[in-house]
Amino acid sequence: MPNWGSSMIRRLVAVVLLAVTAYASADYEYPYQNPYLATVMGTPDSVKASVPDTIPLKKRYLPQIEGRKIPDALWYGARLDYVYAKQKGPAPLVFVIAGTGASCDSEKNQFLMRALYAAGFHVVGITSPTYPTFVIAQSTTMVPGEQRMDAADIYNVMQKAWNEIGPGMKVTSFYLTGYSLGATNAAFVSLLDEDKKVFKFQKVLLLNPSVQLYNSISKLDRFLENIPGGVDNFNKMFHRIVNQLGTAYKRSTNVSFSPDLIFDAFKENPPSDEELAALIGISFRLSASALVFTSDVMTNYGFIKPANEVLTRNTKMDDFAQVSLRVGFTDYFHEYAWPFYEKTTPMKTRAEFATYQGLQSIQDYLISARKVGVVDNHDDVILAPGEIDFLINTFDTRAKIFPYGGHLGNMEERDYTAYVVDFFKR
Amino acid sequence: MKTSTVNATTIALLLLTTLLSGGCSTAPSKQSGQPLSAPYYERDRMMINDTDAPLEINDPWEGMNRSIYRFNSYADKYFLNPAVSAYNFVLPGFVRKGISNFFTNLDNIQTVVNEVLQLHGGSALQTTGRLLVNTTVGLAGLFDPATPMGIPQHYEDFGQTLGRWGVPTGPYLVLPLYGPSFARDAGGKVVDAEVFNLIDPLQLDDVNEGYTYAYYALLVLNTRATTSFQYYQTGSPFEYELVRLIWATKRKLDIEKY
Repeated sequence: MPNWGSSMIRRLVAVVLLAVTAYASADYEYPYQNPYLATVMGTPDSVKASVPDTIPLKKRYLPQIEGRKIPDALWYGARLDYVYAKQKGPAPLVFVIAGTGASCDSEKNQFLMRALYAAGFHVVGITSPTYPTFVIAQSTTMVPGEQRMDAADIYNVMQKAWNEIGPGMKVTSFYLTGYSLGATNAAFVSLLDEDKKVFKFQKVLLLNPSVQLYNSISKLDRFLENIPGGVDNFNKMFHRIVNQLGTAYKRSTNVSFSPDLIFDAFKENPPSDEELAALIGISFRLSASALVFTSDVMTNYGFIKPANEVLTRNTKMDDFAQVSLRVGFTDYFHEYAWPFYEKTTPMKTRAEFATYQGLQSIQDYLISARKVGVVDNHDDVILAPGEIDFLINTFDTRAKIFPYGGHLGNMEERDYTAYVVDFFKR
Repeated sequence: MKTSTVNATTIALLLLTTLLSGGCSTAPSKQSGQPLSAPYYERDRMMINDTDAPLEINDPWEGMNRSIYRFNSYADKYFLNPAVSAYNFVLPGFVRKGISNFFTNLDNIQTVVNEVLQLHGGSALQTTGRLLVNTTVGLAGLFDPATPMGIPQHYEDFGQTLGRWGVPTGPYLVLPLYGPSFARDAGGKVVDAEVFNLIDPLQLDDVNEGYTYAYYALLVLNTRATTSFQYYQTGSPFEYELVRLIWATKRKLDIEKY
């Protein structure tokens, strides 16, 4: 038995490693160590932070910016909603920026607002600049993705919201947070605030940010290419997943579609990593398709819709929808956003322009700004190799990195939520 | 009660025919006067025609449907949502739960009829059991002791019965106030309403007209309050297509499920 010794050693090493990980994460009870599964499944009830189900959240809206002409087909986007909940007494106010393609009252934004409101803060939810109504009503460029431009738009929206709701609020200081792309946005907004000094943010916390935007969108696009047989098999895979959900639906006692379905569907029959990645890719692709088409209609660039074709409220859009679903974030970057910004950006090349959209481009600021912290996971699926190290090196003691949880899968887990609340409390 | 339902149905049908004759076809997109050029991502370059597209659903009345979809969003915004807010504010949660239980229990009459028509005897027995338990022990359906007893809740309508026997959905149809449906299912709704009137479980004919109005008001409020969907909340310019796809998928599965 020549391998006896080495296999013994391997087993010993495995046992030691297991013991170490078990020790290191003794309190961390998040169950999914597969980052793709974590990202899709989120946080199960058993380890969820206890936050109230509802808070007195109010919704208001900002009308379109002055002089903005809105095409008939996008009539519903003439206003940008924001939400807020105010404390009776004086308290700090936390702005919460939603992630890619998400609105001010997205599920994750609502969760963060509930947790922070319960901890005694005023909260204001801000829609992502990549959400269609932001593009339509409040984006100055109508071509989101350029981080400094987006930060300026977000900053404007925050000021307008504050002008409306501020008079009735006793605010002691301003804080800022955001998740996913909203976290990247928050970093650039914080930088802008150093200059504009309207809010003078005292604390800023980035939750699972995209570090280098281009790396994240490349990964998300690749998730769809990983579909067995390539992207042309998108329909086949789509049908298979729908069928899988359908089987769970037929078996369940539920008579309506609910988010629990996805749990039921995958609990017994977990899909492969490729399929889970494709699901994550689809969810981002749905956002991308909405963003790309909305921006194209607004600028009349002729990207998916022929330039100068006027869409009415009743125009049949199936073909546009089909094509948009096949256009990824990287296509948007290369064939649309870069040509749009090429003439105005100080960056000389496409590659420089891409790097300019990442946290690396403001690393000096992030190192010096002691008020900015970050929470992330070692296995976040939107990060490229080395990007977690970048966060650790940049933020040092201000970085809280969980061993696993995928992309925000663990955001509602007790330790994660407690860290977020404590960060603003201390 | 019969008169008012017939009236409502007639009004709905009239509204439908008016809308149908008004705008059957999809409005073509206009040109701004300037010449059109091919977009960067042309459809023919991006799509292979022989692969099936998941979003494709028979929707010849799309122009009308989109108009009704928009109308429904306004009805929600100016009438139903404010009414539901008031409903949620005035009535405590347990009362609303009771009302919701009551209508779910009442729906079971329609479900059992259709389960019999679909020859799903086992399900029909379960639903009968629910109906008996919740109507008696559950005090006319206000409480739901059948669920802790392990009797599952089903939902069947005449549209599903037609589907079970092979009748195709027909064109996609957005109903005023109600929302997504198909020609087959809209017809099914009329049959279900007529059967309900024939059985007349609440004997609303014999009571004060005020109760009848209260019944319909609560029915509408409860239906809206228990439906979480809000128009234009996806933000997507393709929301209409997405809702249509999800609805078509759900109805297909509803028919396979019993």
